[in-house]
Amino acid sequence: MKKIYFFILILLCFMPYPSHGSEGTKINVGAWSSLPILHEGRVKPLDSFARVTLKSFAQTDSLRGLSASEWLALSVFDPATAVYIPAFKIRDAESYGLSKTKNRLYSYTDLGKIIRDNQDNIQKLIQIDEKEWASSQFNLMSHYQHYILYTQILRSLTLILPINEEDHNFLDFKKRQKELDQKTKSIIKNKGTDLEKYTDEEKEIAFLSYQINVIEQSANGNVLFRIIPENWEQKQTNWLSPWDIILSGKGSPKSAEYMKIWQQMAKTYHTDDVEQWSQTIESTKTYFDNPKLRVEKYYNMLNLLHCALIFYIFSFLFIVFSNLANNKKRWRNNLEKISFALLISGAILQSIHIILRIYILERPPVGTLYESILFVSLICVLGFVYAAWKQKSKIGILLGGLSGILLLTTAQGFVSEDSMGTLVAVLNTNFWLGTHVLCITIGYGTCLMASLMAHYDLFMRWQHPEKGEALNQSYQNLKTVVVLSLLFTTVGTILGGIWADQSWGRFWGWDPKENGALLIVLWLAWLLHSRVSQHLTKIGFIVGSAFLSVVVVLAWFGVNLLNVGLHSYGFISGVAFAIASFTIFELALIGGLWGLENKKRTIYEN
Amino acid sequence: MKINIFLLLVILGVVALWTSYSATRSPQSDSSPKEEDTSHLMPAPDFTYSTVQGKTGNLRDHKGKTLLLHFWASWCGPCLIEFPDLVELARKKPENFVILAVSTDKNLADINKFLANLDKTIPENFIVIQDGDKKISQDLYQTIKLPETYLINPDQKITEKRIGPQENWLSLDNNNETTE
Amino acid sequence: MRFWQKSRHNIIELSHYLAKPHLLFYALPWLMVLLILGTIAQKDLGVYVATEKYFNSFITWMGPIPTPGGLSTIGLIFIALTIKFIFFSPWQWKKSGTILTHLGVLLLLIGGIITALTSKEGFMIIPEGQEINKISDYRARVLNFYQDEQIIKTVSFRDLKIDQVFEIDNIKIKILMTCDNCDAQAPSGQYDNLQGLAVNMELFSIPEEKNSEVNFSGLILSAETGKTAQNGTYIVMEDIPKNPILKGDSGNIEIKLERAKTPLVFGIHLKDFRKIDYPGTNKAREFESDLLVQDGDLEWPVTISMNQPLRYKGYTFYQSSFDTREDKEVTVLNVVENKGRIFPYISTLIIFAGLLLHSIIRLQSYKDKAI
Repeated sequence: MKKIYFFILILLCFMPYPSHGSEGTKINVGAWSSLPILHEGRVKPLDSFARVTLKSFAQTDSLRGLSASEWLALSVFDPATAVYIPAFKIRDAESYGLSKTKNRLYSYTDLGKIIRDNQDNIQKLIQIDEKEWASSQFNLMSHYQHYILYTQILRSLTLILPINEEDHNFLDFKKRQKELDQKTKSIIKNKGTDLEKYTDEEKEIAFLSYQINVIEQSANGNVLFRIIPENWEQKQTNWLSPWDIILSGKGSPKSAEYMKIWQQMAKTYHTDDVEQWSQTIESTKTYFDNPKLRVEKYYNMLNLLHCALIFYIFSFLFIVFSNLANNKKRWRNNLEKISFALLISGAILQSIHIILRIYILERPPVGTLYESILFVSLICVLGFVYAAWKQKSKIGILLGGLSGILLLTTAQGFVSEDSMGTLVAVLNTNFWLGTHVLCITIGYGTCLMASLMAHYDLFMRWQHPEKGEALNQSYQNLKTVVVLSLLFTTVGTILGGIWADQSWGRFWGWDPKENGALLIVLWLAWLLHSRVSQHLTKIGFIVGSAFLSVVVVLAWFGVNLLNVGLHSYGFISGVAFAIASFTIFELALIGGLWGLENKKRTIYEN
Repeated sequence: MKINIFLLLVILGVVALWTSYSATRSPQSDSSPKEEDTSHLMPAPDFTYSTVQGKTGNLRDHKGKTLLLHFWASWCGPCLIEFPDLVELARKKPENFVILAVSTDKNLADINKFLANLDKTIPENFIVIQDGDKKISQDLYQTIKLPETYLINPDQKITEKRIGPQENWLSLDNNNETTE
Repeated sequence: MRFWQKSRHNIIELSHYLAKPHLLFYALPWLMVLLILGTIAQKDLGVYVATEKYFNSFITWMGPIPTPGGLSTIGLIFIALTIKFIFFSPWQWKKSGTILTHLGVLLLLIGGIITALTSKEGFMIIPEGQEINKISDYRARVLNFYQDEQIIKTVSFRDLKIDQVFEIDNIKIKILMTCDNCDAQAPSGQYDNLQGLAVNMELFSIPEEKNSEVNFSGLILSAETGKTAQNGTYIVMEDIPKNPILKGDSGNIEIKLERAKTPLVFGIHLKDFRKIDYPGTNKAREFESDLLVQDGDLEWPVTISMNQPLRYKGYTFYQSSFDTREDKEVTVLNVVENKGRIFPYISTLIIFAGLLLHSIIRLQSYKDKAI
């Protein structure tokens, strides 16, 4: 019984609004989507909010026919239509009795059905510790969270959306609520609760009074859509959702004016009045005119990282083709030049991407794992670009493109972790992020460079053991990069200790993160010293350098496995599996190359 | 060999000196007084009102005086409890201080009935206003729940908003000094 | 004489060997093994125990097999490096980068030794509006005997032995049992003449916590005083307001089990503690404590926060945690006295310079060759 009541309540909140029937609106949400919202502790454009939210629901930041911003606009301005838009990725939909769709996207109404059918189950799971959920239970709870979240979004503006034909909204009726309640009471007193006996006018009054109360009740706790600053004149201020403003009494003359603009937006959105809409959006400029928000919107839109990845892929393909065109020198030269140009362009795009992030987030680009992957890949690419330019060698171009492709693809696996959010208090220091973290991240980058070079070296020694001079050259290059890696990782690690000394008074606490960094330092020191002591041959040194990739991955990603509980467990088990497979893959690859090289060398030397 | 021992000893010596120096050094205080910036206060929007006596006026008429813009209604219990305190406050501060008590009652009779039953004389600087269609309260000042009070400085800028009934109206001058 | 010559010869031989990089070929991989095992073990053993077992020990037991621990491994590297640096590092332009780097690492290790020998760490819990001038130890507990709020005798809790007897002011006290981490349960009946808290409960030893700071220590003792009504078995526990009070010859004696405290020559007063969140969230952006340092006649305000400690008279005070007790905000400061803390700063500069020099020399010699 309760469930049905619950359902009716929800439906009631959306029913009365006139709906478009389809997404065929002419409204352009472009300018609208750079209006500010406070989300996860940071003021960002609505566009970013829409993307992050849609990404968490649908695992993509645009739907077929709808951009994230268009979807958000539809959700807040026209919830009655939005509930039918498939925007939720439900991979296990069939187990809930929903029919299979092609892209596994389902609408809010479908999601609602799942939640209602499993209400008891959810209530039980809430009582249990998250760590004890099975993976199907985990999925159910994440559907439930999405449901709650989207319900909030759908109701964000229910106070200013038109309720009836005359464009009256909740706030208009709120003024008359006292009066309506009194009238309803007297009607019930005179005629009882049987609707049949009411006149049409009485029915309308009773329904309106009920409707207003329901809308208000269902808006309780609606705090997600924080589009209004609590204190307009301060930079660091809390922001509130329209409902929160009304219910908590934190409104002000300015928020009243601003909400009137939003009311106008809702109205023009519904009437599809393009001109009025853009005028209304234009008028928000007197309230907010922050270039940063626009920059962030363009940052979202351009997606320079994808472009960079595509450039790297083409650069790699061209350099491979140039190798195949061995006989035609002119062809080869041109292909090499094009490939190098593509690599440089990719690096420039990626640099711009990272610089934009620095501007938007106001901190060095190494605060999270995802960011550090982006940065490491840039370091690798730039390092190889430098090598290719300095030594006029195409190996640099080849490895540069390859490292860009490998690392940016890895980054894609972590993109769901990236909400460009805030950092915990101890990380929130630009000085140490800018020195220690930057230094150690550069170290990771050069280590991966060394590893790639070592792989290539092994490959070349297997394929062309006769090219003594070239092989010696690349061996010397490798050694230089290993020394540089030692420089950055050692200094970075000690700086980390100094940071810990500054923050906690402990230079070294054998903390997993510190140990991970130390592991790389020790590995590098071991390689160099064992080469001096002649315990390692050249080949041994190269093989050891190739394994740097495994050491770096363990230190970089592996230590995160030890802090289970910080991330969702699906993510963690995925990472553990990926690290294990990567290690096995590298063992096989490097071992294989080594073995082949050995065989070939003995033949060659004899 | 000698150079290396010497180098090591010099570094250790410098470290020892620095460490003992820093242990005796007296610190500098880093107290920098944090000033609150009041230059960007929000202006209080102007409105025309009609009092329960039928007179009309504007908010701007009271420029130069400290204002208390109070929203209430005769059906609102908590409002009625603090109402006498506000009247008393106005009586205590007759100069350069005005309270605009905006009632959202639909019927003027309800307001008058309440005022008549109040065993306090209303001073001149306590102006009771009727705002039956909520043009001032809801549309302009976004006051939906009652009571709420805006504190407005002589430049007609809003210094503070107080939500819900207050217990300490009579000690207002002490508290309000910092915000003026 | 010949023996002397021979051993002298051996020492020279040994130092020659140690100065070569050969040692590192074995020592570094072993250190890496310890590092990996010690890091993984932290999950099960807790940071403190794992660190003690793998890194702060001369011998690490791998099951029944004794292996060199972190201290002996690093110690060996330190000795080798010292010999290498002092006796086998003639300054040459080509090797200057390496020598500088070795000097940096050597200083880092010297700093580590000084830190290990001299550093003291403790904490201070200061409620808002109060002044504290003592540092509490994270681990060490002491048994204090108070008379008129003055400590008249202090015994280290760790040194207490079963059946040990004290005599204070004509009160005879005998220790019956101690527990580093205690659990209180109903009395088992093995002690007679129960007094005070012991009437309702008895202490039992339970395994220590992973983080020994949160251990809850206690002990059981028997007392004989001039007043026979007070004779019997008592229990004493940390953080319990009700402690045994016994009548001695010259007055009442209260027995308390407390954290060992080191007095400071100055006091720290907490004016205000703030947790500043990111707007619209419960996620802390910053923790800050407004302090007043009071040293003799001098008094001055200091604000400390995460990454911004207070340094005074060799002590460093760090914002480490906070708490709310009885509606009052309480700041928890980590206090460290470390005479070796400057070493990492110097050594990072030297290592940076050394490795940079080394890279440049490499690149240059390389270029020369290429031409």
